[in-house]
Amino acid sequence: MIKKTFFILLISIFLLSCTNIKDQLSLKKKDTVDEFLIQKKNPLVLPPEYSKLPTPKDSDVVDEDSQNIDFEKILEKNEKKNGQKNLTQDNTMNSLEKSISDLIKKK
Amino acid sequence: MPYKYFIFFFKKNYKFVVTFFLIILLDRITKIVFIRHQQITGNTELYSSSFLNLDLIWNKGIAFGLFSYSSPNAYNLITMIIFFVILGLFFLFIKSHKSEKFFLLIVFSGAVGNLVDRLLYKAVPDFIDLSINNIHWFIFNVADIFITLGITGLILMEFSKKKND
Repeated sequence: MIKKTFFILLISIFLLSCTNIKDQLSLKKKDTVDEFLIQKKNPLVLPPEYSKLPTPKDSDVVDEDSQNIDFEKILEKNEKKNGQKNLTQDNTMNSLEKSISDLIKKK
Repeated sequence: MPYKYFIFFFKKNYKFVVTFFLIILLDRITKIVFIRHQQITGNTELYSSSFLNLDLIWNKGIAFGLFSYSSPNAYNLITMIIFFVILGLFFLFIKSHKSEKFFLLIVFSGAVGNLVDRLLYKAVPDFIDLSINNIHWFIFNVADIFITLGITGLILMEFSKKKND
């Protein structure tokens, strides 16, 4: 009887899976990688003249001003400007001609 | 043909088959609940009181945290031993009769439940932590409860046999 009881208890040790809370919570050293083999990495540092670098813009943001340009007005303005330029050029040319002709007449 | 043998075996032993699957199912459900809880919340503790704590802890060894080696070879060797012990239990179960058969079945079902975890997770999840006045008993699971019940029943049977003799 004792033999059989001992045999049953021996079997139960292999079948049970209960564990001690102390074993789980204790800071026992486990087989891990050797900590002295791990190379230390340098700390992250900002590159020199980092502040001078242009700040990146979000490519998804669409410039609204560029879409609302009224090309007709701009063209009209340009035409007007060109017209004024031509008039001033004509005036200067006329005054030059007049002054030259006056000089010739005097002689 | 094997199908007919299976039906015959089931009809003859359906009580044992149902008991086996019920124990396995209960064990698996409780373990999955705790493992899923840890995966979702990242917290191992499900319930805590002065008497009962439900906290998930993994046991790589055997009973009482023995042979909890991190070496995979040692772990595989222990798993192999457990497998053969369970196989031996199964043969004892077939040969046994009446109440002894029932107790052996309970032990066998619990042992299979723990073996499945050893194969699936490479460790057995334990989560029932009983304590009185901050003195903790070993943390165990549902499969351990059935194994302990079966072992206690078998030992009591041996004592009762001795008395009858």
